Amino acid sequence: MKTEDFYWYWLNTISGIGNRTIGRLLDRFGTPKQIYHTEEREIASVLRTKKQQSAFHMSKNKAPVIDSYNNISAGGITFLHPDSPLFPERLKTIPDMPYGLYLKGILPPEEKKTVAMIGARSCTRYGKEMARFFASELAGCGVGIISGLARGVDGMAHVGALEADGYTLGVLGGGIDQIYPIEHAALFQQIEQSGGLISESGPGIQPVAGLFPMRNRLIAGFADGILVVEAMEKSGTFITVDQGLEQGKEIFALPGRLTDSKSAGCNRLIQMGAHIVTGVEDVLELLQIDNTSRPKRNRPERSEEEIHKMSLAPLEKMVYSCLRIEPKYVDVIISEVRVAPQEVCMALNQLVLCGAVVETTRNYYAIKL
Amino acid sequence: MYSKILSGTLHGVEGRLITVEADVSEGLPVFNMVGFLASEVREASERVRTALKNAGYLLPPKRITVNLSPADVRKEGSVFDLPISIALLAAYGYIPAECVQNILLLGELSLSGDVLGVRGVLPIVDFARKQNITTLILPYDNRKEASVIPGLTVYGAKDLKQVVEHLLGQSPMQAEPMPRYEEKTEGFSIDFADVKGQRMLKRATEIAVSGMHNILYLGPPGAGKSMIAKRIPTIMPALSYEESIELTKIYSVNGMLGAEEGLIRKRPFRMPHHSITANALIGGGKVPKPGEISLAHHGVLFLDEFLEFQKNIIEMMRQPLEDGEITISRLQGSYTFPCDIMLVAAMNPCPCGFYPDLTRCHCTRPQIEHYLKKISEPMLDRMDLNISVRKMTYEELYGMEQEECSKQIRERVIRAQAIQKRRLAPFGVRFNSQIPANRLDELCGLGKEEEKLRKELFERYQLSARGAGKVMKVARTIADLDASECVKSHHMWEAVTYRMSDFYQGGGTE
Repeated sequence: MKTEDFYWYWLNTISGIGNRTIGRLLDRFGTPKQIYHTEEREIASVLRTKKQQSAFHMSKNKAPVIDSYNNISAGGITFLHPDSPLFPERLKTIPDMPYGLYLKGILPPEEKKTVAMIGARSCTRYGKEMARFFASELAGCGVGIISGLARGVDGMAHVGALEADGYTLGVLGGGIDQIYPIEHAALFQQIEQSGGLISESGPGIQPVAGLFPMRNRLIAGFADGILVVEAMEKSGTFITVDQGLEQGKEIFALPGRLTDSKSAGCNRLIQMGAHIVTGVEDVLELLQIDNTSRPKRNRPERSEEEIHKMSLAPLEKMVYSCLRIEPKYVDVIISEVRVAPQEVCMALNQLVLCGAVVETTRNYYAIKL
Repeated sequence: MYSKILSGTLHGVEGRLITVEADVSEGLPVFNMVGFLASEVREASERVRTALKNAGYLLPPKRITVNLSPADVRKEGSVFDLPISIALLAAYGYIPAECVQNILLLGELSLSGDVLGVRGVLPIVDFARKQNITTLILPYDNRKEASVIPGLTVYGAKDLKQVVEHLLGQSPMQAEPMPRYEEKTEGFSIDFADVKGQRMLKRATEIAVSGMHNILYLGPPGAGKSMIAKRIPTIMPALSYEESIELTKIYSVNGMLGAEEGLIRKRPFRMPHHSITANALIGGGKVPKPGEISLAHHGVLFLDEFLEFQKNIIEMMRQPLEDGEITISRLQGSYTFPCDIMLVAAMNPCPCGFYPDLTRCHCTRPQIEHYLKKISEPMLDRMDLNISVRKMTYEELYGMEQEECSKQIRERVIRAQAIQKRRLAPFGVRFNSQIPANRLDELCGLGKEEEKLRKELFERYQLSARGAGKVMKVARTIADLDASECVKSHHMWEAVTYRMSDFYQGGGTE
């Protein structure tokens, strides 16, 4: 442990003293080391509450700080501070920059282009599939995918990036060791192995609601462009967008139907000047990503040609053409193709087996992108 | 003087013969009754004495001893009033001994001497027939029930005087004619044609009935799950005479037969509420009586809101479902009740019930997973088919489409069941759902192509060994509906649609 690591770690782990207070202390006294050696009387003029002052006083014992640092290092967690060589350059320019970060896995290389993919937690299958498709194609072109590992769009963006063996970074709201939501446990593990997980909070900090807006400024900070996949008119997504605008990032949005409330936020963004995205290349072009590797598919839907290549039987083709991204109940399909249930079932299951269709819930079917 | 009368009692749903002996001798005037009697039998002495007096027969004060033998069988119920009173009259010499030989008597008496109906007549009568007892005198209310057994002379008595005069040959009663048994399938007030649309649901139900597979419906409230379940008996084949007897015995024991009802002809549909206790569902009580599971014998037991039932009760059904009968052991012995049923269960797909309709369902993934975990794996294993049901649209509800009626579906079911019966006879089972696991392969007759498909499906859908077995059994039934000797790939393709796994994959609809 280097001495400067010690002082930075100490400063970041004093309970009750957050990022802003650290900023004020640094402004006044210079470096963490200087803060450590400043008389407490002077410090007290910056620390406003008694609680902060006593916490500061108690924290000066070196042994527990060193123990805790060694503990997290042993747990595969890297502590980063503005003076460490690994600290991401892109975060140094954002307003309210973080003074301490906890990392599992690796950060995106500085020269790598990155796109943050964000959107609603309760999204439609359309939102999920779009997130997965764009993440997978962008990652396939060498773009790093940044997201927040939440339910819905976030999770699917990570999934898509992993599917393309691309780089993805998960920015967490809670402590670095907190798995939230629990159903993403496996995803956490995969990202840690091939990408990175990063958080401003150390181990043990619960993911409470108040931490997430702060997390969003990091998502924006890590990204060169922000792609909003699906968002309602009022959505936490806009916190990230606002932060991104403040930081001078490009904003992209996927258009949706006017009647679809889940897409209203996206449409509003487009109205306000966000870049409308109708294909993967729109994003690549605007971010000036040199297209040495073209996306496998620019637009999400399968072309006539691709469908033809799947060499489907006539009934399968008929059933396939009834299906959409939004799942349909089997009875609806039966009444649309006007064929006996058993034959429709057979065609559907064959389509599922060949990977063109998914059964999203029992007896509900949708096309797979 | 001494006399002897035949009567009977119940043990579970089986009858037993009881001999009522009466002796009248000189001595202090007492009325002694012995023979391992329950208190309602002991009380017969008061009823009998008063009823005899009111019917006009005077019993001079003498020492009366009544014995019900065999002495080691506990006697319960009120069927002994009539035999005891006749035994007394014979012992007092009112009726000559030869007049009461080989006649079985059952019936409760009121104080006025009227003969009242009792429960459990059919099992006793059936047993008596097997013991070559052919003449019976029963309460008038029970005459129809008893007359269904061939080769019997059944007299329905309204009061004590009528019985005595009949036995003395003064004014013989009319024997109840045996009704001709007709297999009856009509007479349901409901029909499959009432259910609009829901083609998958109907198809799955038809398959389930054809192979007597247990089926689980998954769907929102008001989607028509109970509506279709109630109509399942209408597409089952008519009860055969033997089935009908078995079923009527259960209802007779529970006292659930009406006075004018002979055999039960309709397949039962039982729909207990989810607050039901274990004893009421499985059968039980101090002297065990059949529960809902037996009342649904040869028919349908429908458990709506499957997840709301107490878990331990559902678990208790496992063994009876497999064996087709339930054995309950009590201090006085063990009782076996038949319960060869088709189990139909319905449940909501999530706590609010509307999943996957995301415009109405806001349940989170963990909530739904937690909810579905309430049903135990072993219980899911007992169900063969699963189908998800959706709320119908206006067009489907009020469309002009002509729906198939129960009769048409029933004909297909009967054909498929006949094929199964023939094929499965050597294995001692009747339906595909009962095929033993080690015989499944030979009965399916898979070709090379089908075996390859089985492997593919097994891997793609991550089926368990049991799960795969069930898919194959269902495929066998689908093939039988198709009158196909072997199970072909298209039968398997369809069967896998109804598999009992991965209900929930996290995708909703708008």
